[in-house]
Amino acid sequence: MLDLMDTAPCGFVAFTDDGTIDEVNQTLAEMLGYTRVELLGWHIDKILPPGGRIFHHTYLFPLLKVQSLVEEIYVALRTKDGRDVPMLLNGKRRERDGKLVSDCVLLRMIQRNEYEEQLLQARRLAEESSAAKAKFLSMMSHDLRTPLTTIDGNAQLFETGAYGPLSGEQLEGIEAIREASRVLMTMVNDILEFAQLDSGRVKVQPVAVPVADVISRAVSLVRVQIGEAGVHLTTDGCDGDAAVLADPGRLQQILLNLLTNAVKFTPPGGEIAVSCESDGARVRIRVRDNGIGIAADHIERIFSPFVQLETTPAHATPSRGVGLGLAISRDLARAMHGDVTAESSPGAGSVFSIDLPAAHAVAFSESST
Amino acid sequence: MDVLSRNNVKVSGSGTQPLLFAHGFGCDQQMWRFITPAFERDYRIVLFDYVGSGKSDASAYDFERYSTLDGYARDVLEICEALDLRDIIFVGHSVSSMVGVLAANRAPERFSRLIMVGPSPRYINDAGYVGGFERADIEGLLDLMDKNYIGWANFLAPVVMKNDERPELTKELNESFCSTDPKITRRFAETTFFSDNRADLPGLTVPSLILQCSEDAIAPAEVGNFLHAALPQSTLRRMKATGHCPHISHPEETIEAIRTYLAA
Repeated sequence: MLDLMDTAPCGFVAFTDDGTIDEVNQTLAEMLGYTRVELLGWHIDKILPPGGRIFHHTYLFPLLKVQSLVEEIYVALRTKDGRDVPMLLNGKRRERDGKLVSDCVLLRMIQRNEYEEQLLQARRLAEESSAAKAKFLSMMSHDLRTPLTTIDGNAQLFETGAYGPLSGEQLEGIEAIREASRVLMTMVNDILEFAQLDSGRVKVQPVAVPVADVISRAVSLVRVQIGEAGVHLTTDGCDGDAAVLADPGRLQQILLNLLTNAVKFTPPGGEIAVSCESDGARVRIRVRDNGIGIAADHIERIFSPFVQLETTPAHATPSRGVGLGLAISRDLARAMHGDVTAESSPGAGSVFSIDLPAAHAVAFSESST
Repeated sequence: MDVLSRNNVKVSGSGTQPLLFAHGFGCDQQMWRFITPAFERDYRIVLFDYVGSGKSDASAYDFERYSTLDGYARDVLEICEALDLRDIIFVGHSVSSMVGVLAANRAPERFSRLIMVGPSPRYINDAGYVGGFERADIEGLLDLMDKNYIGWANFLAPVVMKNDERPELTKELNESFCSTDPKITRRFAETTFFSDNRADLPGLTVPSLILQCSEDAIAPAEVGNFLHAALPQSTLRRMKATGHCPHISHPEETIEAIRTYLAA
């Protein structure tokens, strides 16, 4: 059996809890440039590079001790002549001959390591690029907001007659300026918020929020749009005492986004229904419409940033946004340990769901003292 | 933000004096599972996870705040305030020993003793100081962590394990062990191993115990000696236990060392 172990095309080492090498096969000894006899009785640290020793003591050993099993751990072992050999390790801690030992199988992974190096390098570059993009978007949005506020503020002064009376044509022109600046401001705010979410700088402060209150406020805020669009809105099951753990402002923002989208994509005479369900641990708020719907292969795309499907219905006004509303909504929901999902098919309308933890299900409990 | 929820604080024990356990880099409060039962009867046991470790609220992680150990010390003090802890015996493993020093320097009135398991005020060698590592060694660790990041889902995923031969060795864990956010863990590694808290040592007014393992590859004997010389009112106890985690590898000796110190 020992012969088979020694000729197996993989390394094997067993070490005790104090790190003493209890057994090692010939394959591993040769990979590292030692003889079996040399390695037996050594401390495992001696064949680990310094960083690997920290890794062993802070992760590998604690995991073996508490879980008894580790799989697919990347390690590097140091050879007699000081080279580091990348390896993949599977280990199991067990009792053998009255001793507790960790048996580890090691596979050399030279080519795979080079490939993973490339992957890592690509990821680092992508992260740097993403951070630079977020910084650029954030700076640009800040710089754009200031002049936009000035434009809208001055236009408002003209509109209210602060600079003297205006003709009807002039008032129309001023209104056009204000509308354009509002559209631009929405876009800038969306970009800024998305950049902040993307860089993890948006903080949510979850508290217990009664679902009925949030829905009631959101519905009142879109009532004018609902009237203008000629659609009907109903709520169902949302008048109970269900509460979610969420940031009230952020939840309202998500719900408003879903309701605004529903109004936009539902033809005159159509129906929008807001419903609520709870299974005790989670609460789900659904916004259902019988609008134009979304093809199955586009469902996930709509949550991607800067994506707007070219399906704006003829009755709807062109979008004010830049395709960030759903991306922001989903990111916000996830920041509150929830999610936003969609179900839809063309012609059959859409159902957007906000899933959040129920408030009572996550309360802190102190164990007995 | 509820601090107790943020740091997944767990309180147990029948005593009144708080024994506050702070885990080190790489794991969570479960690292203390072999130690705490021995103190349940006589002390009020307080366990917690640093933000980004274990079952803490990772959404509370702030890269700026936790880029120095001071941010972690603030967490400790906020937990002390939330539970109104006084006369605290702080037990910190590895990096948490220095977190304990920083916390005790800020609010010495809350702490009665510090017990440091495998402490080091600086891991990187410096002129006239042996920390045990060169900067390149720590970069090697970060590289190792990055590589494991690729397979991290498996590495840190919840595992339910049975040891068929000795089931008592590994009580079945129905929850994740050492589950951490990889990005945060990497940052924690940088914060830990690039830190230098030597200047904070002379200001400690709280008595301390240094538990120095034999053949500790992370905090060598020279570091224990340096700490003992720099920390006023410190006791140095050299353990037979080898390695860096005596609280999991040699829990009996660790318990005995803590008991002896507290009884003195």
